[in-house]
Amino acid sequence: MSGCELLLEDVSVCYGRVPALQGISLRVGPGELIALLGANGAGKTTTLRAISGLLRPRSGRIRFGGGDLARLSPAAIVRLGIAHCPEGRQLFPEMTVLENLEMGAFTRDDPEIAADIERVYALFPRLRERRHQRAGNLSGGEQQMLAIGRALMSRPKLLLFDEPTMGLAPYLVDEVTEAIGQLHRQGISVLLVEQNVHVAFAVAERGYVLENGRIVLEGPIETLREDERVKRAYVGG
Amino acid sequence: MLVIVSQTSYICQEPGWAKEPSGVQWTVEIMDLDILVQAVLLGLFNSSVYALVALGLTLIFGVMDIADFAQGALYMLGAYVAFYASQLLGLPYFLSLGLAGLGMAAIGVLNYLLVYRPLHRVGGATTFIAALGILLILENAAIFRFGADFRLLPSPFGHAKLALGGAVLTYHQVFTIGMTGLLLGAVWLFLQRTKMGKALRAMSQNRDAAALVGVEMHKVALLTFTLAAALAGIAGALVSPTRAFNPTIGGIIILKSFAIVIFGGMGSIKGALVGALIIGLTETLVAAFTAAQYSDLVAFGLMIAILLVRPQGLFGGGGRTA
Ligand SMILES: Nc1ncnc2c1ncn2[C@@H]1O[C@H](COP(=O)(O)OP(=O)(O)O)[C@@H](O)[C@H]1O
Ligand SMILES: [Mg+2]
Repeated sequence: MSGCELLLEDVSVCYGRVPALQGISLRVGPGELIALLGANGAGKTTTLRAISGLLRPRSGRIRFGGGDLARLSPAAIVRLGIAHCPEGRQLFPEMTVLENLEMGAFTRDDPEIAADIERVYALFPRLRERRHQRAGNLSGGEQQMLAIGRALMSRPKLLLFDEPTMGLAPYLVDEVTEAIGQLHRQGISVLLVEQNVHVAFAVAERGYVLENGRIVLEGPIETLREDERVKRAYVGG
Repeated sequence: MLVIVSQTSYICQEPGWAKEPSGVQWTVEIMDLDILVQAVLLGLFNSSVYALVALGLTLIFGVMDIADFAQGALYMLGAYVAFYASQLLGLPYFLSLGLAGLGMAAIGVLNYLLVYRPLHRVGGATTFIAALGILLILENAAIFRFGADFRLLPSPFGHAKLALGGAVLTYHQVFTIGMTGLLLGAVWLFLQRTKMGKALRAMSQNRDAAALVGVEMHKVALLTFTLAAALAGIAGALVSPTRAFNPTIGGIIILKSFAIVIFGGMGSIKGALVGALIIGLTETLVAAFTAAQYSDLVAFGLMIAILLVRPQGLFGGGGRTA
């Protein structure tokens, strides 16, 4: 799992003329689990969309395993080993659970896809029971599990999670948190965006805090936990 | 129903029928059924044409969010390709069908590469205006080149008719319905079974998600335009021996097909097919039981009524069917 360090250097992204990210730099080392924190509208989703190629940075470099991602298509970035589990799950609602997982393996044509689907079912047994149901008919928790499973199907070296516990009941928050920790322990690097700081504090090693498109703070998760700015970003969090 | 009453009285005048009340009753039902069957069969033929054009439209809309009115021009040109291929080049009709499909696929690809792909980034109404522009340009070019006269291609089946009970269709109409069934089946298999077909459905259901699993957007878009244009071209070629055509037929078919796509739910395949069936059948049923002038009125009235209740269309809203 070496050579898969993610490095953002001075990355700026604009929507039209409105800047959303203003020169952010961050690093996710091989096998690390990094939290990206910040209030609503701080630019967390924009950061992840720039990494996975859905948005083009205005300036700066995004490096992964040595190469620059800024000119690559999302498809090429998936092939390099980055999977993005997006905000709001973004499943294929008219496809079955199984078809969604197969779509996750779209960039692959090796014979181990079936075995990897079994691995996803082992991680989330509920998906196996629902495998022939339409994704649009699943509960919120099941949809989130499917979104994670689909991201895993590309065999990523780095996983980007955008608020994976949003809107879930507490016991499901625990289940999803546990799954993310387990994937990390298997050696996958993780960049985790979370509004639920308890989740981020429970699993992350280091963290960055975004405010209005700038990184205002970074450090070991224990030091972030005590910081006033973090408490401010998550009033009541 | 007035029609039926008069038909009945006509039959009752024949000797032997009026004497027996139960016999009259029986005759009335037969007449009723014949008109109904005839209208349904003709309706199936109409629906076939709508289905082929509407399917392409809804696929393009699902994948690209483009209301590609230029498909109407491809339908019209498909008829001309078939006409000239069999009349001038002397090719067999079935070969000219394929030629119409191939030729229009090529134009569909050009439309995408030269017009829609560059404009898609700009967004807004630009692609729609471009689509209308292509429709009008091709229509005018066709008038310039082929004239505005109506033409009809001789059917390879001649004028032979098939009697189905008391109803009658030409062999060519039956052939058109059959070919449509085959084409729809082939498209369905392609969408369900092949990797590119699944990618097309995925992109139609959630474009960002499709990009994130590694679907290459431009490949799928290119494929969608190829497929839709071929379907429109074949549809035009299929109908050219049945309905007289001139360069303006594209505008009419595309208006109705687009209405069907909205009616069925933009981007929904099931919606386009069910919509084509409902509108095709409504038209002929209304024409059979009231008068042909009312068929558009009733068909569009029905669409508006359903859209008032379900603004997202029959199968729209809960994500796209694809
Ligand atoms: N598609 C968009 N068009 C214009 N502005 C956007 C768009 N998406 C997000 N923004 C703006 O960019 C900023 C950052 O948004 P986002 O990255 O979604 O924040 P977060 O995920 O941290 O809540 C916000 O001010 C938001 O309003
Ligand atoms: Mg967000």
